[in-house]
Amino acid sequence: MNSEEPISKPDLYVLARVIKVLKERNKLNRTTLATYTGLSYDRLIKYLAWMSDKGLVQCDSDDDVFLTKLGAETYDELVKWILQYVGKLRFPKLS
Amino acid sequence: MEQLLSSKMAELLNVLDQVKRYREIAASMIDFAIIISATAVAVLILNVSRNLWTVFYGGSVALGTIIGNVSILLIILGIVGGILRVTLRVNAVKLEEWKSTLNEGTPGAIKLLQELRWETIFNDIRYAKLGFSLYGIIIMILCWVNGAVFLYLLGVAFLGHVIHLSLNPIAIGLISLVFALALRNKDLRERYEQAGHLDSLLWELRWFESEFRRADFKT
Repeated sequence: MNSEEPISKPDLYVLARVIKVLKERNKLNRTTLATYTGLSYDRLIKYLAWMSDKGLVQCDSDDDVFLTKLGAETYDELVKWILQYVGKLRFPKLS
Repeated sequence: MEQLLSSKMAELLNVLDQVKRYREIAASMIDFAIIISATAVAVLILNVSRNLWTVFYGGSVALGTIIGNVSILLIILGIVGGILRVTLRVNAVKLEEWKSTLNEGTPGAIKLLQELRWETIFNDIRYAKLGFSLYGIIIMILCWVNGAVFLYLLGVAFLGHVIHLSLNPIAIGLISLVFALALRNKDLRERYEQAGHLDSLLWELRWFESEFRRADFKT
């Protein structure tokens, strides 16, 4: 993939990781966020651009990244959504 | 809520781990069959050799006893070896490889769900059911055969010589079958129930997979 190419189909795992870290740390600069999420800086920038476009995160002039209210709600919705499916499963007792 | 998700995911992945173990039972049935067949061939060769020896050089009670004992020892070793092989293979199945990923919380749960290969899981469940049932039946048959051999030896060594009573083969077969059924009754019932549980797991996961696909999980 070209490094300039924007993300068309983001990986939900990466999105969740970025949001989770931001939820826990409140605000972080991009380099630290890249370290915490285990993403390469270039990849993180692409994801942040995508997330910022969707209103999930905000970046300020100091290079800091914040999670927006929409971002936090989206994450909670995501957890609820997965739980809705996984929670409905009835597992047999296999010994 | 995240903790609930993690615990539900752990439950799902534990069940899938168990399926992997059951599937290994089915896969190791080939090894088991080879070991048992090799044992049967060894016993057969031993007895054919003894018969040939008797034809050419004359038989003796001591030789008969030795060959008889060695045959029994071979059968026991073959069965124990077969069961041991299956047990070792099943115990070698790697479990809880997902634990570190799940410790990441929701992102980990998402990653694990994305990585599940559903068709492989469905096939594994089908194989697991087969292997689990087959293993139970084989153990049951081995118990039956062992019981029959024991009764036959008891008949020859004790009843025949001491009280001059002989058991016919049908009686030996029936009595040993009753003993084997009594001994393995609980195990057979449990295996029957587990096979039913595996069926219900297959349906549950099929529903789960189709719901997830409909929801376009990968965004």
